[in-house]
Amino acid sequence: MSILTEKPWLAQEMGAWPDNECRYRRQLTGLRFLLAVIGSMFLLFMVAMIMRTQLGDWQPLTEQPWQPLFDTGPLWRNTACLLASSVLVQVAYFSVRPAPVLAQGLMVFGAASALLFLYGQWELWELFSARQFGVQSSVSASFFYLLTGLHGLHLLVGLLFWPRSFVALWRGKSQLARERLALMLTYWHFLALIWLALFALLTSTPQTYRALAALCGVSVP
Amino acid sequence: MSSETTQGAGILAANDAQADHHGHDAPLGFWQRYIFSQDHKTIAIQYMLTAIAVGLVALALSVVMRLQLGFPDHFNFIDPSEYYQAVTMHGMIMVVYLLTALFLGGFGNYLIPLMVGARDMVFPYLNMLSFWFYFLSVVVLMASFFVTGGPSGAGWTLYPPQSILPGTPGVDGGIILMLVSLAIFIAAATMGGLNYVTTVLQARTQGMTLMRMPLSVWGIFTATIMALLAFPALFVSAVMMLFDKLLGTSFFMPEIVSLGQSLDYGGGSPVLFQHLFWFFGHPEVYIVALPAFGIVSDLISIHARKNIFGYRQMVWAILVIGGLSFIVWAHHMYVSGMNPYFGFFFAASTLIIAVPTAIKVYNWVLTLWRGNIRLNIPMLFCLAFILTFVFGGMTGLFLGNVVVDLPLSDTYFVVAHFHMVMGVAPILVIFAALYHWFPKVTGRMMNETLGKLHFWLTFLGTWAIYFPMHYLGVLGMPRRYYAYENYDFIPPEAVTLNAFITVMALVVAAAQLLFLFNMGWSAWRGRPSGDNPWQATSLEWCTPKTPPGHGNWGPELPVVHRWAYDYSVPGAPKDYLLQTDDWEAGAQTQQQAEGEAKS
Repeated sequence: MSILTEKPWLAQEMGAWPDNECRYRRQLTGLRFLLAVIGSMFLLFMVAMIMRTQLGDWQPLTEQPWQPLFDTGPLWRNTACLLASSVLVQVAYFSVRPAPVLAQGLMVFGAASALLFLYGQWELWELFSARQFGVQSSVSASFFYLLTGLHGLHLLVGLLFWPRSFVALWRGKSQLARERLALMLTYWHFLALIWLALFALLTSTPQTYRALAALCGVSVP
Repeated sequence: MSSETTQGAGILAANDAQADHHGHDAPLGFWQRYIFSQDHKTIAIQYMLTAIAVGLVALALSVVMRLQLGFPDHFNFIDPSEYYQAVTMHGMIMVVYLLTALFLGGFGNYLIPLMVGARDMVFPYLNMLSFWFYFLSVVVLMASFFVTGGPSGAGWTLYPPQSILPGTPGVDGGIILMLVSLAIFIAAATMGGLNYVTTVLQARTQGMTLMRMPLSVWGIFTATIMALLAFPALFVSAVMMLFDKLLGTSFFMPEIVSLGQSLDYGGGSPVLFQHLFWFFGHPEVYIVALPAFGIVSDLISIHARKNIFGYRQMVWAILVIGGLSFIVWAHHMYVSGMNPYFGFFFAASTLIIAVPTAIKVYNWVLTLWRGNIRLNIPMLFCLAFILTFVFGGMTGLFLGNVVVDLPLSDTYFVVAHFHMVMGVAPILVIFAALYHWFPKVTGRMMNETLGKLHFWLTFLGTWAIYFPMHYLGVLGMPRRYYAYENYDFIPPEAVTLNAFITVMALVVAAAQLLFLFNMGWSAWRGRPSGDNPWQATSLEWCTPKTPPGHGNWGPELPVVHRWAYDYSVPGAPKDYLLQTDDWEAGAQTQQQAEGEAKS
């Protein structure tokens, strides 16, 4: 809420066009609203899924050995990759001034971790397909493809912005690199949080779905 | 602030390339100035012209529908399928591609930077992309007229399962293009919306505190936040329906036998779609209404020469309406069945939202009270808006109650209600705003005689169309019928009334051509307006040039000393004080008192 009491004109010289600091504040504000939009979208998808779980044809993906998410090991591995990516970028951010070369290396590893996560998600899709859980096989599988696909797309778009920070770092513009990395970090951590929520939801038990649905005011006898 | 009016500038001269910033002072070529411009004013005009153009398509569709309904024996150039396609495209275009785009993309783009004292939107490139995404969404939607089977005829709410099943017009390509177009539109609205909110929060000039912002900016700002949070619901439902249509999933599709054939779908919930759709759909009403509320507040104050009554109440009312609009959506779904407690909750929240809305209406009326009212064209449209909105709002109270809604549901009473409150009322504000800010955009006044003729034809004509529709609804005339003859439960006088409504619709449609002519003619031949023809106080009237140049202001940004509603201030040197005027009543009074004591 502090944003409401800010006096933006104090951050810039009167009459001047916005400087870097000013631009960064604006980009951060814009990014926060973008995250609100993305968050709203995923939240609505999740609520839709919770409501849909209460209808008769819902088939869980985690209850029986032949179901693709019975073994959650691959999901945990992917999650570890994504969290590692978040941590690596965070440490890269801290290292921009004291150790710029280290920061560059961490950024490369961070990107590699994110790509590993995406590859792991792709492998899961292959697993689903191999076990005859295609996109139209059951609505739970449909939600899996839809939600992981959309999340992956957001990660890919985030990766497109990766070089901006890296190039700034490469050219020794540490202030600019920090600002860009800070924006990147905000987005990256947010996507990691979204994934944790999706992971929890996709692997929930029917009892949990029922409880969540009751919280949403949905109860189907 | 010194002023220099640029007379005779054309409508797109807003982007005249003479700026005061490194990298901005090189003259821009034709493509950068007029087509791929990053200037908020040019983008606003692009939004407006595109929205008006697509709005004319929707207007033409409504004329076709009315001719069919009013004179079914004389005009048979559409069949029932085409009638449903016309209904669907008319509704969707008017709500999303005209009203939303015009208020947020058009007025939001033009007014926000000028009214808060910014040089441009904070992300100009994104702003340009926003327009081109919007343009693309319109092209994709229009393309559906030309694909096999034509556009979707599922109704603007696109309810599954019928929207994607054989038997519904446009089920081949039309519905797909509609959903894709909506997704592109949402991307455009998001890009624009991020610009509007960030500009308001981060690019206000010195002294422009939030509680000094004109209510137009408050309305657009709040509506934009609502759009950012509500449009994802439409996106979610569009994506899931596209999956159902293209990939054969069953998010919304129940087990169903269509045309004697059992389909592969099963288990889906059409009501789930309705929840998602209306979670977007009801805030959408206020996404359109809040900018209209803000603009009307400003215009009434300016043209009644009085400060707005209860500014803080007005701001809080906007915010409360915005918040409440997210918890009333299911009043659109009473007939689909719900837990009685839910029905009670949504009826109660629907009625509660009338309270802040009523506060706004009272404050408009109290602003007018004993004002020095100038009955010019913008003011006429504002007065018409208040009448229309109050009337449409009152019928909304009927429909908000479950027991009254059930018998009136799917009758012309509903059609009349939402056209009054969401169609005519905001359109009247759009006209008021266009007449009001046209001099700033072009440097010329619109022709007053033509404008007043346009006003009376539009105002009386629309009331002649929609007022009788309430009666038709109470008679039980159902909506969505292709023809109303030979039904025992529809009395003959309803058929006669339908013919009358059609004639009035033709008059109103023709009146809009008058407006278009006036706008085009005045842009080139209108009387020069000067910098501040309405003697208004807000910052957009303080620009060094009219139309404002690139960067809006000279070398220095304006400094704000007061709110935007200082009209008829006792002791002030003139009957209005610009927001940039550094005049203090107390200081002046003290000086006068000292002078009198000396004498």
